[in-house]
Amino acid sequence: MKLSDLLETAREDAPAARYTVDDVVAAGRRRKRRRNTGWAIAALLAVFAAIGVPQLVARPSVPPATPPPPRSGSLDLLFSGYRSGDLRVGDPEWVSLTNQLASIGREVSPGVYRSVGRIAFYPAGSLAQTSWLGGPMEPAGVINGHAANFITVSRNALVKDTSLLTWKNADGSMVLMAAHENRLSRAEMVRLATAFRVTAPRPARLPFAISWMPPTMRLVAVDVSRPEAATALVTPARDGIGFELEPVYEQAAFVDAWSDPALNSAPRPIGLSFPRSTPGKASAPSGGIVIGVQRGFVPGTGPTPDCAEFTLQFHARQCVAAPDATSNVVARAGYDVPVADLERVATAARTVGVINDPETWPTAREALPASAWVER
Amino acid sequence: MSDKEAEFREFVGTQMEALRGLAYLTCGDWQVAEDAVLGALARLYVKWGRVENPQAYARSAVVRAAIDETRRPWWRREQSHGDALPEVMAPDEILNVDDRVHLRQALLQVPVKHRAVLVLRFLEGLSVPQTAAALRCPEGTVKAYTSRGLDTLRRILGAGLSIDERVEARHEAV
Repeated sequence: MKLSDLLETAREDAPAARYTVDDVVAAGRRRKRRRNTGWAIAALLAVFAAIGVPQLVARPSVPPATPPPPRSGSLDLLFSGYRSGDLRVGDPEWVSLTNQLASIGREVSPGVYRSVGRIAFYPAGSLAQTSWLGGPMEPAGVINGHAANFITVSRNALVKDTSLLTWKNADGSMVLMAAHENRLSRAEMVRLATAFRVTAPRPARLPFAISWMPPTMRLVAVDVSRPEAATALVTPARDGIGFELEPVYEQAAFVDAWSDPALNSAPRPIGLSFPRSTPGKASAPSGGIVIGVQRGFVPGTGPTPDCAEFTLQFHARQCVAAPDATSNVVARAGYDVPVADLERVATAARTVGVINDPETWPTAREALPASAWVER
Repeated sequence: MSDKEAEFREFVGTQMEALRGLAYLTCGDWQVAEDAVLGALARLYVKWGRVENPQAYARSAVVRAAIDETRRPWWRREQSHGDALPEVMAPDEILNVDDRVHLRQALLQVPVKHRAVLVLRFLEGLSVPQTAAALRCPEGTVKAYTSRGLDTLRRILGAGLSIDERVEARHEAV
């Protein structure tokens, strides 16, 4: 019995075939069609992988008109000064947790500027509480891709004829520009607004340092414009702490001479103040402390603080000290702040760094105890 | 119809029965064997004109497809009537039928790869290297499978089983 014969025998008696030659050819055609389709899809995927994926990876998510600044500290300066014709916008002078202010000047003679307005910048997420935004609005066209509006300010004892222009930036920040006594035309306001740019954050610096602060107090605003006289505002810690600097009121002169505050802000809800005052005359926010440090000796002062009522403001007192022969410190608050705390703050402050070299000054975060810093 | 397709049709017409039998001997089920042949010839259709030896390609493809059919997991395997109604050896007046059933049952007891080797070598007359190439395995494996497959068959069918001297001689010559 040969195996080959057995195998031949085993495959005999086959049932009728289910498939014909046509079935085989049809199956072949289907397979060929599927294979060609597969190759086409594979080629498309390969093209996509070679061209599309690198572009997708390299492409930024959404190209903004104004690049959003990197994550910043809570008191970083978020825009820079610039010029437009005879107009100049300064660097931020006052910086708070809620907004930051810069002055606008017109060059009346080479190097001499006259105050004509102010810019208030509200970073994305800041909630402007100023009542001026509630005034009648007029469309001002489109600025940097976003709708802008003029706002009419009602004249009162404190505010003369003032025009406001407000717009938003691509990163969600908002700007309010004020033209005092309409010394800026609407066209000039739009021109300045169009030139405005958010810039990379840089830390606010102070020419002094304070080694002690009541542990409940938080740094909410700093005056960073004047090396010879700087100010810091601290208020009691609370949820959602903020401090909005008043954007509309004008100081009497530009750059080096400033008016007294016309209104004591202490009785008002926290969050509004009149920042542009000399350190010794700044209003004390309710429950908080104004700390001013000046380069210059005041006769009659010494290292031991002298505390007394401050009669120029309602229900306020202050402690004055001279940490050395070249500076003096004022710590002012309402009577809701213990005088012992004012004394200790006045004793703890001293000037730091080279007066005309801001790079030698500590940052606002470094200038006060860590407990006073608000993280955002 | 193109010339190539006409050639393919002619090839299928002349080879399909032989390939069906080859697949059947390998997998032991006519329907599974037909599916294996259909799949293998469909692949050959796509490559037609580029295959140097269509017959060898088809033979190799059919045997491998038949082996694969037996390896399918149960949930992907079509249940054939052969499984539902197994062939049972029964006395028959016609001796040939009895022998065929007996032989088929004996073959089914040989592991599928051993069976494929035996079919390719002793039915198709392939040499060890050719069988190894068709099954894509080492020659040593073919020899081992041949030996074990024959042992199994001899154990079932009796010591009288012999291999075809002519085929063997041809194998030796290759």
